[in-house]
Amino acid sequence: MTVPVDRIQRIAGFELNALRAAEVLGDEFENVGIPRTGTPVHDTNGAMLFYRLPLRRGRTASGYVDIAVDEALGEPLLAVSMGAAWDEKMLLEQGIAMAHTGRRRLRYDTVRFVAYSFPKIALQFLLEAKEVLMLELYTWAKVPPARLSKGRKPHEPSNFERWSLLDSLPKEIRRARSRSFRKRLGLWDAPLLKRIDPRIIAKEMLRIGAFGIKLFDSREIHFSSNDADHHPCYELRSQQTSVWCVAASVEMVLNFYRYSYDQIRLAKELGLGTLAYPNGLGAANVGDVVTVMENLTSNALDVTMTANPGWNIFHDEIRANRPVISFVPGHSRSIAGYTHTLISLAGKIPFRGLLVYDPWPPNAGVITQWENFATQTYKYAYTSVLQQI
Amino acid sequence: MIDRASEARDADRITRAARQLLAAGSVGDEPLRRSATVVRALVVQAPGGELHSWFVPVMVGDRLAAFFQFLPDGTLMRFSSFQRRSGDLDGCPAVRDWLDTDRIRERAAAEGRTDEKAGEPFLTYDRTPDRLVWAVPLIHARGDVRLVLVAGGTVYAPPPEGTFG
Repeated sequence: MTVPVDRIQRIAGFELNALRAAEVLGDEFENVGIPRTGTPVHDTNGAMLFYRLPLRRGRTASGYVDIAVDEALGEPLLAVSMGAAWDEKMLLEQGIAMAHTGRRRLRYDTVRFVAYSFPKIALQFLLEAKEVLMLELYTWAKVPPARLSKGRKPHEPSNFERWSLLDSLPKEIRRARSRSFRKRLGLWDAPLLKRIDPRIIAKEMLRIGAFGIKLFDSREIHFSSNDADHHPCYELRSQQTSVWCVAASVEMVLNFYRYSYDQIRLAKELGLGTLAYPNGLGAANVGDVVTVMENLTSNALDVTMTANPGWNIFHDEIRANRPVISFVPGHSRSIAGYTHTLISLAGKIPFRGLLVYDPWPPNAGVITQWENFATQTYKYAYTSVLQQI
Repeated sequence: MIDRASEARDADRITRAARQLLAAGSVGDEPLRRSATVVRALVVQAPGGELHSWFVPVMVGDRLAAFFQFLPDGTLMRFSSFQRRSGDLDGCPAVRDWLDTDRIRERAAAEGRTDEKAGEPFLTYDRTPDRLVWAVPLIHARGDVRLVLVAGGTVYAPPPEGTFG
């Protein structure tokens, strides 16, 4: 099922006002107006995916919001951006001009926006419903035709590869996402909200007594589970070589539990070579992190590795005041906090962020606050529970 | 490949977005807002050479205090800080180490073999966009080209795929 276009503006209004009320969206969103409709963006299979609505304050274009129309996307609000104005007309003009550059014989009767590798967008030129050209937005590079590769993993496209988001969703995920999508829309149909006009974003718009918004839930690792009487308690350790992110991540977690092993020792235990001749952790050896952490703490820590961890792993561990090691493709970091916004009436606003203590770059490291959980691929999580005191 | 004609316009657009986010308090803290300069956005290339994202440095004096990373459509991927504590610049790398391409090329050239010359550095990433690096082609007199990666003061050869590090 898809959402009719006449509901898009109202849905966008409630989604953005809720984020504003929760202060996930800053002051720059105050008094920004939401238009009646926007640019339709299609899947590569031709189905409508979402509308991109330009956001304006007065006459100034200031950003955009993407609102899903296909339930399979799971949540109505896909993305919101401020500062990057969306000008459909200008993009069409630019794209058409680029399409004709060096292609004098190009003939088409339709041009439409297509998420060729969601969320990357392209302009698709069609003649009698058949594609004649596809150009990636902004770069205007030609998007090559779909490759026929049998072994291709869903949602793991190679560079510049087109794929269909809808066709690649397994049925069960599609069903679950549709349920969550409908639940979310039901929230905005609450009788209490019937009389609210959400077309302008305002911090106070949804702060109505009976609606009872709890703004957000956020936590950082502390010295104890009592957050009130002391500061956050976690330290960044940068990786000492270009390939020791795993050693640095383990060092951070062990330091939290007051174990002092340097990266040279940890690298030796993990098989990561020496400072002069370092190497990364092979994919076949990811389980070694468990063994090494348990051995070095004489089993005081009970460490568990979880493949493809979901949000709850990180959330629950931080609630229990325990840091987590997180592997993403080719890299490892540690997680020491989370934030997500809540609405007490029904569901959650889909912003979920992790506080990442990232050992990269070498001998520096960064603290990322917040990493959007929806934009990262989480390969493994290592949780550790203190067994003995 | 990156369309150079629209690159400057997009860099301005992304830089404006970063400045707005910092000024509005959506990222960073008050001491950073007071003292920071948001530098013009730089292209981050995907391994295939196409535009992957934009890197927007935030400097305080001669230190790189933080940076933004945006997708080409302006979506904020992350805001990452080198500061360990509010107002503390001790752990922050020198701006020159990350933005001075001559210095980056020199660092790469120092790792070169006989008859290798360092080419033009380009900002990219090592396996995952979290790991921003400058890639510098080392061109042998025979014409062979190999890449070395430069991340601040660290220079290294691209690690094998399928490893974590």
